[in-house]
Amino acid sequence: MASKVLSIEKLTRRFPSGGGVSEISLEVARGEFLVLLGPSGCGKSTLLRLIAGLDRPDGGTIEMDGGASVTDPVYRDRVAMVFQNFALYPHMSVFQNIAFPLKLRKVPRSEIGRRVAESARKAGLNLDLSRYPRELSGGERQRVALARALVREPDIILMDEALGSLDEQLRAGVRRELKEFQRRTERTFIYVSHDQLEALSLADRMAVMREGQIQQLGTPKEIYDHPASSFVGRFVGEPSMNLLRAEVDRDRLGVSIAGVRLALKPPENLSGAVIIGIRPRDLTLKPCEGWCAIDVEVESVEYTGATSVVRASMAGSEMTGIEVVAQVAERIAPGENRRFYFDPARVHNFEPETGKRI
Amino acid sequence: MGAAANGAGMSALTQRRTRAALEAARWILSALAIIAALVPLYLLVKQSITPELETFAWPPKWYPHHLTPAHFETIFAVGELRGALIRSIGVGVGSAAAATILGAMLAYAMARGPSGRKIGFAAVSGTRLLPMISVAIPLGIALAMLDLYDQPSAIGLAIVHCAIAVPTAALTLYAAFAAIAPEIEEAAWLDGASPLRIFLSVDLPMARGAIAAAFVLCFILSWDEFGFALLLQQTNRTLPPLLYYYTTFGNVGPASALAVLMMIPAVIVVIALGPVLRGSTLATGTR
Amino acid sequence: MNQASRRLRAIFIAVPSLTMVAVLVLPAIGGLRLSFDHNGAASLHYYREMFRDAMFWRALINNLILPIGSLIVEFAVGLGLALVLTARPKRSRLVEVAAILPFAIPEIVILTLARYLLMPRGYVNAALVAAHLHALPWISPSAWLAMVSVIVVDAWHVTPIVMLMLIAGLETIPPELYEAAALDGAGPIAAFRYVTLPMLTPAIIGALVLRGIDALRIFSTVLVLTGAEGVPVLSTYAYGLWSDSQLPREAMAASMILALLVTIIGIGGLAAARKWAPRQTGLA
Repeated sequence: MASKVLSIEKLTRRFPSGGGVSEISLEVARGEFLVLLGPSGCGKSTLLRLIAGLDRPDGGTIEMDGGASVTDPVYRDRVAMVFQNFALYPHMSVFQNIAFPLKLRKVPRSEIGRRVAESARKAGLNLDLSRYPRELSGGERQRVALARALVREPDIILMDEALGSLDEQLRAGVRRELKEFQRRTERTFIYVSHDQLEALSLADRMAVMREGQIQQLGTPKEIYDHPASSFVGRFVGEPSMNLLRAEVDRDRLGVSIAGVRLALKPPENLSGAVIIGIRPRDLTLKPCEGWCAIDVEVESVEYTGATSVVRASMAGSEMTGIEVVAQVAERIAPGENRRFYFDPARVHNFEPETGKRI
Repeated sequence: MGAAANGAGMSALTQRRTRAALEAARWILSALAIIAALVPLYLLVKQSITPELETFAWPPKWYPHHLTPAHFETIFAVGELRGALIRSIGVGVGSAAAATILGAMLAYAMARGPSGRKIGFAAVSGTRLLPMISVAIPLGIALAMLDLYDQPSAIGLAIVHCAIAVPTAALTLYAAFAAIAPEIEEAAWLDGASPLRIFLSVDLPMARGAIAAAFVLCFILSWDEFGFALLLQQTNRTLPPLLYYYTTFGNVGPASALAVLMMIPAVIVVIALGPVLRGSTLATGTR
Repeated sequence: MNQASRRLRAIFIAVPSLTMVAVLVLPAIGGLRLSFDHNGAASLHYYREMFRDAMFWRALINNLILPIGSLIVEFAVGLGLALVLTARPKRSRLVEVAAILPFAIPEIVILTLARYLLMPRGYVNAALVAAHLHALPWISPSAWLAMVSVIVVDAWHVTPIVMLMLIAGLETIPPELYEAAALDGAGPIAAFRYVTLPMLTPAIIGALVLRGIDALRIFSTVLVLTGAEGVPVLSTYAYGLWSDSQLPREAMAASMILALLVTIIGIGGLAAARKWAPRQTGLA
């Protein structure tokens, strides 16, 4: 890992109404794109606001490399933030918006002009800088906000769901631009999102959060391939991972799901129950050597273009309504009885009580 | 008996009659409102441009027979009026500027914190309970001790008008500050601005429309105020006590001319600022 | 961010509040002290003197009758106008401007005008005579008719405020309620009785409290129409003692009775408003 730019130690912030974060520790590397991902209320925005210094923690520390703590005045100079609604100053032109941080720092006039122009260029802002925010499109406002954040050359740029207010069509393009922008400017980005697809595509590393804690921190690939908990497994990836409760057979040669036996070797040191996780795209209709099979009755099919999302219920089980979701390329019709195959190596095992990966 | 039973019990004919009666009542009330507003105003304007003899005749003349600019000439020729006009404008502008600044401070604190809101509303409604006369008499004595009583500059009156206009300004500005998203302030803070700088560079410019409205309302409040002006400027009068003085001493012509003069800015502003004005009027039940 | 901005907010509350206290409250407290100070000793002397003055009792009673009368007139007319203006989707601009006009005109101008209308050889009497009726002493001191005149003139100036407050209340009533009532067979009177009135009650209470506090302080109307002692109220009684008789302590005693009256009724009213109409009075 490259040199670290920010370290967070046992950070706690509680609110009377609930929510917040507890005992979070995290190190952020210089130049990385870190995404904080989680459902609403998981504490990701609280964490971001604490890092920004907009809110004060009840306990723990946040330090910039070099030792500046979040309460020090110099810390504020080194972080910038892009808000969800961009928070542009409506009474200032684009130029004045971007120049505002410099004006506050009493930067000489000629240098302000130069730096605003440079920062606008880096943010991909090709428009008349004397226009006002209300005359701009969502994408343009986003770039103005980026340029304003960049102009004072912060170490870290924080973004709070900053693509959330753009429409779907624009987002993919802006996402690509943002990633490109980060690479070009070599800044550290901390980006809050509730959209796992956005997180996977943007992040160098991502932290998946739940109930005020980081459940897993890693590269998108690590998180997708080796989710640390059933929650992470289910939250990341679309359609969501199948989580099936299974009993370990007495002979430890297989597991059963509601009476249906699978030739799946249970994890070591575990007796009783296990949660097995299978991603929908790991289920196929083609048999393969050494793979497991489950029989299902197809209930619904959602055609999504190249593949279809199939919802099916397990056949032959003692309980009804055990749902399995698969993503397959073949044509399937509701009501058909089919057999799904999967590679035992691609099965994720989780503890039933804690949800932790085994 | 419920609404349905009551209504259903009414025959279609009775309903039609009720509607006709209501329609008539609507017309009568509208007509009365128009008469009550326009006829007296017409008579005032008429008095200001006709010789006093027409007003004092019995019965008084209902429409002008001779037109004369004499009354307006009189009031402008008399030094007292010029002094009062300048004084009224000075007190109005000075007190409105100060009240807008103080009101903006109070409104901002009210909009940005629950404790500020409580204290602000307490201050605003608390001072409303004080009768003018209970304040004006001892204040007159206090101003006399400070050598500020009945000054030609009317500085004492300006201070009082500022204090009574602060609630009006604060209530006019409160909604404007409350409407500013907190993210804008947070963005400014991260950009390196101090809280005072945020207020000056972000909140004030964003609320400039409401600030202009607050200033104008406070000016009109001072321009119209009669009680304090009467008690505190007994010889160096502003326009309202001057008009009272003219009226009580029977100078119908000049009094009417002065009344017309005083009315013009107030009427223009109140009609033009109607929607803005409503906010603070509704919150205070006064002007 | 919090600490510095909290300090700023504290300053922002303190400066205007202290200004208002210094200019309005401190003098009132000084006046209170003055009214109890008889030759350097604390005493009820001026109050005792005042209670022996028949004029004071007239002023006190008038100070209750006139505001109540004025409130009745301004609410009856204000509600009527509010209903007229909101009855149609498209408001008559002429009626609206005419209805707001008396409120736009400075109080002293309204009063000057009223004086010319009501004086013995004024326009009202001229109209009466023209209609072969008797002229009446509209603003003669001490006449009961003068009280009616004061009530009507006072209401004339402030009715538009009441109207605006009630229009604001009427605009919050969802139109579906009227449609539902009409479908249930309610005629216009039943709709008013069972929909408008109950929905408007908070607005009426809020307006009543705010207007009531203001009405108790009645001063200019009485002074301009009838002089300080024609139909005395506490304010004009105090004003007369101070301005004409040069008796500041007696004047302060009278004005303190008024302050007490306003405070008691005001606090009671504000408490009632807080309970029944928090939104209308900004007390939520």
